[in-house]
Amino acid sequence: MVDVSPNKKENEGISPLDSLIKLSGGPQDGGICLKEHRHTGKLVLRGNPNDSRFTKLVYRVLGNKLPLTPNTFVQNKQQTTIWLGPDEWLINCFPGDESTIENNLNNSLSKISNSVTNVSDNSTIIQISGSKARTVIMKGCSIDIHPRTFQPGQAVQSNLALALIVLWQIDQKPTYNILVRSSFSSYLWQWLLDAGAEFGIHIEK
Amino acid sequence: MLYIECPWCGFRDDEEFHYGGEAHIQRPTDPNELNDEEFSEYLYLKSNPKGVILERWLHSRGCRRWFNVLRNTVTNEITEIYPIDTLPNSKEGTEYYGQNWRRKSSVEKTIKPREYK
Amino acid sequence: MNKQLFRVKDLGQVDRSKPLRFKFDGKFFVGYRGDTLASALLANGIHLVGRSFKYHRPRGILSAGAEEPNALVQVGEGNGTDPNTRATQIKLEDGLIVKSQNRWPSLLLDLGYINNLLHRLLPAGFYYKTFMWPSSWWMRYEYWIRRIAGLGEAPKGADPDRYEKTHAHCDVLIVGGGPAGLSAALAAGKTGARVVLVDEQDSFGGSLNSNTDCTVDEHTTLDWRKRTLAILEGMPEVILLNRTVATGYYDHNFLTLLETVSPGQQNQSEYKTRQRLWKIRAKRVVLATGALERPLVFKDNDRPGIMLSASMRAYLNQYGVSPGNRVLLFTNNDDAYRTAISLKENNIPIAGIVDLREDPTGELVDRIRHEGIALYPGYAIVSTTGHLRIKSVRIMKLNDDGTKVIGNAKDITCDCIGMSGGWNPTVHLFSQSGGKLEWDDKFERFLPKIANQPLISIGACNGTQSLSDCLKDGLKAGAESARATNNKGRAPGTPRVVESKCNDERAIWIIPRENSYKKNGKYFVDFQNDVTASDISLAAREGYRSVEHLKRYTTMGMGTDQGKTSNVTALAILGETLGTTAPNIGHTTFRPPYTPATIGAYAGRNVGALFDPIRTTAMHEHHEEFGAKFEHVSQWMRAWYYPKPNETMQQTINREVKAARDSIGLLDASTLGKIDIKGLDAAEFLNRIYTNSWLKLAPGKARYGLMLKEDGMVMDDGVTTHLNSNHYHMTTTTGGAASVLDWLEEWHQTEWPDLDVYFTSVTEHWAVASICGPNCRSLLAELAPELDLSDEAFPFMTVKEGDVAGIAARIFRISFTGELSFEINVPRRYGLALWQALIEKGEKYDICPYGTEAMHVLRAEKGFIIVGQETDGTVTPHDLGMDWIVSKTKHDFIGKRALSRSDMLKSDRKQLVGLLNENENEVIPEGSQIVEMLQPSPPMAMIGHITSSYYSPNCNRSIAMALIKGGKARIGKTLHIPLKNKTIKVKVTDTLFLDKNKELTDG
Repeated sequence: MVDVSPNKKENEGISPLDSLIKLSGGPQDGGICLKEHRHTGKLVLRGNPNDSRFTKLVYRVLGNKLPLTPNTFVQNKQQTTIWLGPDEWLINCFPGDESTIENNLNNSLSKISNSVTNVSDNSTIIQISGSKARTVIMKGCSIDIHPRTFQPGQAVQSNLALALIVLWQIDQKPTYNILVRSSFSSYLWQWLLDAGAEFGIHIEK
Repeated sequence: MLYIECPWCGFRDDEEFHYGGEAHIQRPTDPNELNDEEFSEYLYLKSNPKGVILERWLHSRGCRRWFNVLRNTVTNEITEIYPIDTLPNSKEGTEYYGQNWRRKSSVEKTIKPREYK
Repeated sequence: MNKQLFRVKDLGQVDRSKPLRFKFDGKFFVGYRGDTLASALLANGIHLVGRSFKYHRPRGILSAGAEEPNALVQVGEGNGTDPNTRATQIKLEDGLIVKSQNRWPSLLLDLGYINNLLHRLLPAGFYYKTFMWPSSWWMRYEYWIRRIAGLGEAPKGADPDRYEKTHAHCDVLIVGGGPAGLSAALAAGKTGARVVLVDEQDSFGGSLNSNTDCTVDEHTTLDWRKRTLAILEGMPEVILLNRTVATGYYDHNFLTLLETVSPGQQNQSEYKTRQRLWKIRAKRVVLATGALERPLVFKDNDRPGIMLSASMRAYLNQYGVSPGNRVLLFTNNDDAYRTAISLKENNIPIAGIVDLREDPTGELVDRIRHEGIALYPGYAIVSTTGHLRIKSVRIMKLNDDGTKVIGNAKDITCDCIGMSGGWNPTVHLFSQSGGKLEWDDKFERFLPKIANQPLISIGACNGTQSLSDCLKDGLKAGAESARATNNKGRAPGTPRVVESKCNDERAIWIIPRENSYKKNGKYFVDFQNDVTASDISLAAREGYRSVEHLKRYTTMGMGTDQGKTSNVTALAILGETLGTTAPNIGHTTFRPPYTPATIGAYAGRNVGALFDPIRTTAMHEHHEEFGAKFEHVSQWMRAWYYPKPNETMQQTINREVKAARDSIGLLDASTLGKIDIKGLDAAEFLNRIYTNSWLKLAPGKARYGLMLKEDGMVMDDGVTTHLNSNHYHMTTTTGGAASVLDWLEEWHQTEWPDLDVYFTSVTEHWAVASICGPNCRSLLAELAPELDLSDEAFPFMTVKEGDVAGIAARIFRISFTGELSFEINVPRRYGLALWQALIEKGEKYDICPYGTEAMHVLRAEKGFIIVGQETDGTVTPHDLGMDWIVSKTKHDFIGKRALSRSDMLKSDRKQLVGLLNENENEVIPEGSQIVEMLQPSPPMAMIGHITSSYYSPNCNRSIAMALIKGGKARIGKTLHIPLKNKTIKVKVTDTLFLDKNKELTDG
């Protein structure tokens, strides 16, 4: 049981994988390394990318251009912005930063068509890395993530096993982040443990 | 399993998509003006050709966008993919669209034509 | 004991330093690494391996590959056992345990053989003829037929082995690792393309392994194979998959490959995989699937020891196994001559070559004549002897057109026969891909003609016969396919091949009888399903002229081998009987899988806990600690009820339902769908989607809404709240969360793109605790001291934001019970903390967590519907008596026009009413059918069914809702519910069971 005192507003709360991660462990040199990025701030931004006012104002708040190319993301020191659709982006930021960004966006965009929604707790992020990460992902995902077709900077929405995910590649190790709905995260976590078991799994806190 | 090219996300397995039935059935501008028979035509009557069809697909497990597809129902060959708010561009697609019985139906005559891009 | 009397010294590729012990029908044998089960059995002199399906005739090993119809065995024991496995494709492993099938009590003495003597009772279609009378006996007949006409045994329990699935992509997929496939892989691989090469056998090479009478660039075929494989193994983007069957070829170059990784059930670790199913998308496919040799159809052509000529050569050259001590060859083409030469080179006695051709010529024939091997040109085998093994044959001369045998008969003794009736290109995958086949008159076979997908057929499956052409075509296809996928590079030069030329064949589909008036003996076409030439002729005479009908009537090609050795022959025989030709008959549909596949491979890891995702809420841990029983609501696991020790389910639910009306009930409502809606046109959009009016809903207020499909049927319902200017929070049913979001997007994108509105799912961002009952305001006041919760400040159907238990929350005053109720929404991470605070502070009110069952009772007491329970896609708001929510002033909304269709206005539509059981303590089973006029026995006209039925502790009686034809007009009437053992009498009422005077605060 995770200790959460209900009287403390600043308490960080419970992430959907908290209880599962404690149960796991594995060899450091395993082919797979798993980690949960707990409680990152997440916002869904909607708006018209053909409206230059929109893209400019967003640029001013985020400090980087909105990714307009499908299947890509951009990253700066503050946040990662992932293309989700022609008028839809996911902003993933440090825990707690989401309200500031949300307010800034709302204030800047108050005059034009847009929507900013805090979805921080709607999903969680599982990081998977290691020499066998690609093999494990391919067991459940029909996207071609061979290095010839998928590189750091690319992101896709697809299925991983029976869960809907957003997958983006961080580095060449390779390291990937997997965004999964909170209620599917324990399923996906168990699926990853099962799929990676033959290679050995190390779990990072 | 079909390999469908989402106009945004590129080629994906068909398990990422939802089928949306025949394309270019516009909702009547004022359904109240239609008699029962005409309304049923809009609601229920679908083309079921052997060969080319224009149909709608939704990239439901991807970018969640609707788009139109020209598919051959015999071979499953997909020869054109175009945005939901446009008409087909290919010769095959244009022909099929123009010759479809719906273009002559009394229902469609009551509809204020959509401004296709 | 390592006898292996039929192993030829120093021949073949098995590893003689690695003996492997295996058990066949309880006896131990030894083979070598590199053997198949079939080659190991033959090395031990065993040809007899099974009994036939229908007649229980002794059968031997016919082939050396996937086409094997006879040598089907039961592999392994216990729950991991695999029936009907082809001995020709089982890789020999140490400790392998195998049993023969379809025999009792033993293979040598099989009582089912009596069927062979009763064959007149078992003609084609015997199922439909012989055992039809008296009809009441069919079950008895069937029991025995199923017992004696059988294959292996399915395991009883769950499969213990581990199966994996994986996706894959490649530029060029090459199916078949024979000479054509290997050279295609070589050429494609050299360009740097991503190549996958698969072969169903344990070792790559195909015919290179057995046709050792050729050379490639001065190397033996085996050396060339070895060198090529070594080059391929060194290419990082080339994946080589042996023991991998391309089972299916689907749309857009999607194929399934079934790889056997390890033999299974060998005390292996939990994570060792037995089979892996590859779901592969290839930009280009090269089919190099080879060809299958055809048996000849002659009298009693099924005796153990009779095998296919090229298979015999494979056993000899690849496995170093001699087929017998005196071999006879029977052929209509040059293939048997190659086998004869291999036999001769290894000093295996040859009884002769019986050749249907009148005047065979060519270098192979010359060589046989030169070796002094007895050659019988223009002869045919007219009969055979030998029960458990072939003993002798009788041959006679054929007349000019091959329709009769003439002259004197001659008997020849032999202990095995290698036969060749020509070759069928393996066009299965090509045909599955949608390609059109064409009949080739010269060699009487189907060839690939028009491809429907980006593929190319090369080598024997394309009708190519010579090795040099196979290699040349392979290199070309590999290079071209790679180029088509943007990989540049030149094909390697064509190797120089030395080989003998093969000449034409003479097709005689059925060998004529010795005495045309004597009709004894069987001419087998389909060995596995015991279909004979006369069965096919009989079916044709009885009117089964379509090949698909013939197949189903005779069961020809319907065995686990899918007629690989028999289909074309059967078509030709059908054609002859009907006086036409095979191309006019057509062919049966080729369907996946190419060879039988384990169901486990298709399930993969979607078993046990990973079968289907189980979704849980933030408060799930607490429900578990509280001893909740759970129910599945779509993929969600929701608390169903929370029993205390020694409570029955009904007692628990009664307690929970009472508590919710007497003090405080607490429900985890987190699973409800939630959609954040923003935009200047949000209200207009809602107005078009919902049946009621939304344009004037003030910020801070909530409203219940009903969504219809365009056909007027109820699709979903929920409360939507106007949070602040142009920002709405919509709730949907638990099961409707995803489909409602899709529904909104669909209308927005396809019909009303001009509306400024955005939808974002926030279902799981919020955890929701719903408290209800007279004391819930006091509880909330304690946890949210800064909020004014009075009726004036926080009226019914409004929302407030504020801290609850120190957590920033959205609180909705909405109710699904009729009681005063608050739905407290907090970010998911604080869901458990909120729940614990409510439980803790609520203790003095005896706060009672209630599950979905009590929730159902509570809403039913108030007559509230549940979409999906009271509705099933055929129910309108009017049918539900919810006219009040359908706007009469709105000009249009989705579903409006349909509500005025003539069918919707009929008075006998099924309408929702309440039902009260005459017996107040008895709960009617949900789904029960309702009748007006009770009859002594069915049929009775059913007028409706029960949608919801519970015991209501607040009403002190059972209550039910039902959809009944013309239900509203029947209020006050008595109806009947006939059940299996009794009949229930019910009175029709309205659907409001409690609070008839509507005194509850939030009703």
